[in-house]
Amino acid sequence: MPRTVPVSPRVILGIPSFNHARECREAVESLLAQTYRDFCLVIVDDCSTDGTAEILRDYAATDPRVIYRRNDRRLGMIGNWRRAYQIGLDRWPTAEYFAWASDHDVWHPRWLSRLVSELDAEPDAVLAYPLTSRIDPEGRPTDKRPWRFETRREPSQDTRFRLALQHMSAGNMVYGLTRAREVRACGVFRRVLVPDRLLIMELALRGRFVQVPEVLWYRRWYGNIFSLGRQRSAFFPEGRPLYALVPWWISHAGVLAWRYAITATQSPGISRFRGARYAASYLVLAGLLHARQELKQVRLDLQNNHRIQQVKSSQLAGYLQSLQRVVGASSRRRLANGVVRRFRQTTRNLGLGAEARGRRRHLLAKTAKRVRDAWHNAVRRAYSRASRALLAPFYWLIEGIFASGWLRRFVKRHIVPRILTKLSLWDAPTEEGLATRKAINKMSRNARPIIIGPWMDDPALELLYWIPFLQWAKRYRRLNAERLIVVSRGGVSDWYAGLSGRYVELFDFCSVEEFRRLQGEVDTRQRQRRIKEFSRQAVSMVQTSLSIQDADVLQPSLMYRLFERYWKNQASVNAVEEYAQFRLLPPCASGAPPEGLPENYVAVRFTFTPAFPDTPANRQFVSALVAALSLHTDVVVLEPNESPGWEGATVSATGLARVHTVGQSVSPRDTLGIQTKVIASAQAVIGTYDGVVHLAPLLGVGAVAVFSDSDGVDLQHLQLATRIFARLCPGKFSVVSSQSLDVIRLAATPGVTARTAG
Amino acid sequence: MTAASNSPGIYADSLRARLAALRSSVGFRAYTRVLEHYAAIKDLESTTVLAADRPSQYWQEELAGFEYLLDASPLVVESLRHHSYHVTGLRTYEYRRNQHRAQKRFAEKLEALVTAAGGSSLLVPEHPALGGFGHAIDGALYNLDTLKYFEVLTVLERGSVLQEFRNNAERRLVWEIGAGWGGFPYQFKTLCPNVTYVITDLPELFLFSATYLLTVFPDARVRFFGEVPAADLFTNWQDFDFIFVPHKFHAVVRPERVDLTVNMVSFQEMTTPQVRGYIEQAWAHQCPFLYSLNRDRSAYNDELVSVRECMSACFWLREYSVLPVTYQKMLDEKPGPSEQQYKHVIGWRRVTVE
Repeated sequence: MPRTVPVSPRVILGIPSFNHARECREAVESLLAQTYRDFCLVIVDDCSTDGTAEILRDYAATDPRVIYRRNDRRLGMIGNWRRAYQIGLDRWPTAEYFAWASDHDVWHPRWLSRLVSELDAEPDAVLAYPLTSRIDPEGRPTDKRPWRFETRREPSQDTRFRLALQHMSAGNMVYGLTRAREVRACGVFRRVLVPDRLLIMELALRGRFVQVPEVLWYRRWYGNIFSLGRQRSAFFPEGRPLYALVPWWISHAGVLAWRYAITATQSPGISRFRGARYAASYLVLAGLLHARQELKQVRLDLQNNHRIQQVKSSQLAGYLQSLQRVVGASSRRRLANGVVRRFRQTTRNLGLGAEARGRRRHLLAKTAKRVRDAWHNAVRRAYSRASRALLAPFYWLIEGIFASGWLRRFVKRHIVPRILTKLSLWDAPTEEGLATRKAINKMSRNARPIIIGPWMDDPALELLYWIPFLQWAKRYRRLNAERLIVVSRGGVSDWYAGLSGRYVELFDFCSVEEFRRLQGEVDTRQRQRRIKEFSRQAVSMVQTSLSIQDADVLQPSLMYRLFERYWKNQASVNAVEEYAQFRLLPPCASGAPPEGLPENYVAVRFTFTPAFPDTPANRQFVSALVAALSLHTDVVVLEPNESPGWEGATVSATGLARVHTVGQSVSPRDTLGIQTKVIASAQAVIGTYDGVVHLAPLLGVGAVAVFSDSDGVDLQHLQLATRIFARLCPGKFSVVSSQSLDVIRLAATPGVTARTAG
Repeated sequence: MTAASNSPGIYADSLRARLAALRSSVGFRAYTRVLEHYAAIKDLESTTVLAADRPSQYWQEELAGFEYLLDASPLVVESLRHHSYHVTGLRTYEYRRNQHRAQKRFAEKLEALVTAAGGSSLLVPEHPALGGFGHAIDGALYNLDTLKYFEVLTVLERGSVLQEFRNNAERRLVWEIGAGWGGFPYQFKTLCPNVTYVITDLPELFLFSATYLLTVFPDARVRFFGEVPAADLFTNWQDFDFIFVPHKFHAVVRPERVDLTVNMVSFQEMTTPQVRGYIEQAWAHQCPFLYSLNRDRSAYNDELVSVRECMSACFWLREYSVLPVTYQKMLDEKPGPSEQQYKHVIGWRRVTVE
């Protein structure tokens, strides 16, 4: 049966992979063999060195459902997990469900089918997972019984939070199937120690957990290799941050406090006070659970090694005494001393009758049970007292912060963002983000005019980033449109309609030649320096011409710095969307297209760019396309001229009866403006994948963008364009390769053109 | 004298009456129907050019042993299960009421199995039709095959396979290679009614399995190979409960889907190419699960490399066990060498064949 990649899969599975060449084949195949087929698999290799990459690449080459990416440098476990999620959701933003999968475990063929049906049946559930069976490194099942826990019938947030805290098995649950948007709302995988536990806790606040009562996941178990030291080195390969030294339950509680008590963004019906209560509860209860876990490990060591006689009873007494110190429960001393006495007595008995192995085992088990019972009782009773004692100061602190507006603002704006900058890629603002907000905040505090620009770069960047950024900035601080003066070139005032009160044409202050010299500068540093100088002069001239004494300036450099991480593929598309507001351009004010054009036509604009280089094949392709189009409809070819934004060598296709040309006699200050009008009145636009083609969908016109060399296509821009056009004007933006002649031919037929235009 | 002269007549009359009644019984009618199809299949075999796929020497001898079934009287059909020892090796005298010790050991094993399975929801007792036999425990009959199938079903449930077939609205297709006398299809179909069960076997064995299944499921919708052209055999497969395909023709049929392939105690008797052929066919049909209860290789079978090796080329294998002893032994018997033990193996379809 041929496998096809779903256009919009319901499920994305992300495999963060690192050095598991021996097991990864079985892991990937068990996922690809799922009986539920509407899924895609994203594999992110964190620079494996043992041949894992070659194996995984093979699967990506043979199965279209598999996407393989290799990191440029080691991201560590958290970074890799986040990247797997990010790549998947960036590519298929409409995917409903997401699950992480490891590169060494094994999944039953019905795993996905059962989990999807569970989540489909339970709208309130956010996480579904099956029973788990442990297998040894050779794949043989171990005797460990499957662990069971779910909150299927728990509508109360409090109860779910408490139960999850006490009974979760984060390592098992984090590989369950989640609702993708809920994972994102929970910060995906936060940069803390034991991040899976924190994610599960946040998910517990958002919905129920359901467990499928079948063993559908076989987890390869390499022994208990968990340690915080190992996590620190595995999570942070480039050096552990300072906050990684903080005990995990404290950092988790800090994140919960920040998320649900201080910022309170995306909180699912949780008041700030309740958020603070959750954070405080977590701090206390998780701390106690951690202490219990440590003691349990000691007990297990004692049992497993069968060396109880050699262990000093004072060691246990020491543990119990440290427990007393932690919980501050003096009344527990009697109980602890009793346990110690019994323990000493038992060890004496064991020493006397060491030859009786059965008796020894019996006493050993009895002692272990006594220690366990005593510990359980101690924790249970200590909890109520300790929580009262520990929570009170925390509540006072929270109340103090809330009571003082100045303190609250100070903490929120200056302290917490800086501490948590690296805690979460999406939730905490970046330094650039903070600087941008600060700059706009500063502008909002006065009433001076704001000169925006001058914009001298590519129209694509202007349409995809600059204008949406300005729209965000305007809304962010409710800037008055009358204060905003946009400076751009080519007569694009229509693009800024509704955004600013005034538009200033740059070519009123400089010549085309000067502009071209600036853009044609090869030396990047020199170019930057000259553009900076030119911008300063342009702003000064605008101020003079408009008789403005004092004005703020919002330069494009601010936006460049803000989005640079995305362009360098160091941040997800969310880094752009957070600071941009996308909307369709307003209808062209001037309305009618240039005179002499037919009523119905298709606009064609081909220029030679790195994505569509000047080759005989491309020239022939354009000529054939225009000729084919003209058989069915009028064609308006946007010809090149010397104006900026119109440059490039279009293949001449004149001479045909229904082909019209526009552009050769247009003045520089009107080039983009006229193109806008021609495109706005067209039925559809076909042209090179470059700046102006982005204009069509923003004007509500269908566009087919063509490229012939994929290396010349900037994938970051394409990703953003596809994403926003899919949202704003679904189906009106298609990017195709010129090699796909059949597709192009199909697009050139009248029926298809009409559909595209419609 | 009068009595002596009358009694043969009475006996003959009553025998005739009994035979007449048996001839109109469900079992005998099923038998005659199967016999007709058997003859048609043999005709097809003789007229069709097929790859040499002769039964092994062992099976040729076995087939000769029950050739009498081609002309069975109603009395033989009435106790057809007693004659199935040719296939399964179980004999009725081992289950007579005087076998107290055997029954006790048997009951212990049954109890251990129920405990291990976590309940008796998958336990289907022997059907009394056609001379069904076994130890009577709690009013139901159980024999070694019953327990074997119970163990198999437990493994299928433990391996999260059986759930796909129970209470599922969508109809599934199960393919059993070598169904013997039809005991497992009966149990499976009882637990999972919404399946179409395809049986590939020697046509002679359909005399057991098809007769038995048509008797215990008198309303079952059945199709035999040869009734329609091979290309149409699986058209509207959802409308049939059982489809019988002779082993020589298994390669020419193309089911639309196969959800589970089952083999019990026959891969181990085949040659390597035969085993590979069946397994690769299951793989080619996109069958997600393969279940096998076999020794890795029978001690005397030199023509087979290893069942496990053949299966692992197309399926990822997981081994399961229910009791510490294999199915044919009681709890107090010592297990044999591990390589000679029967193993429950569930295979998950690989993406690519190795």
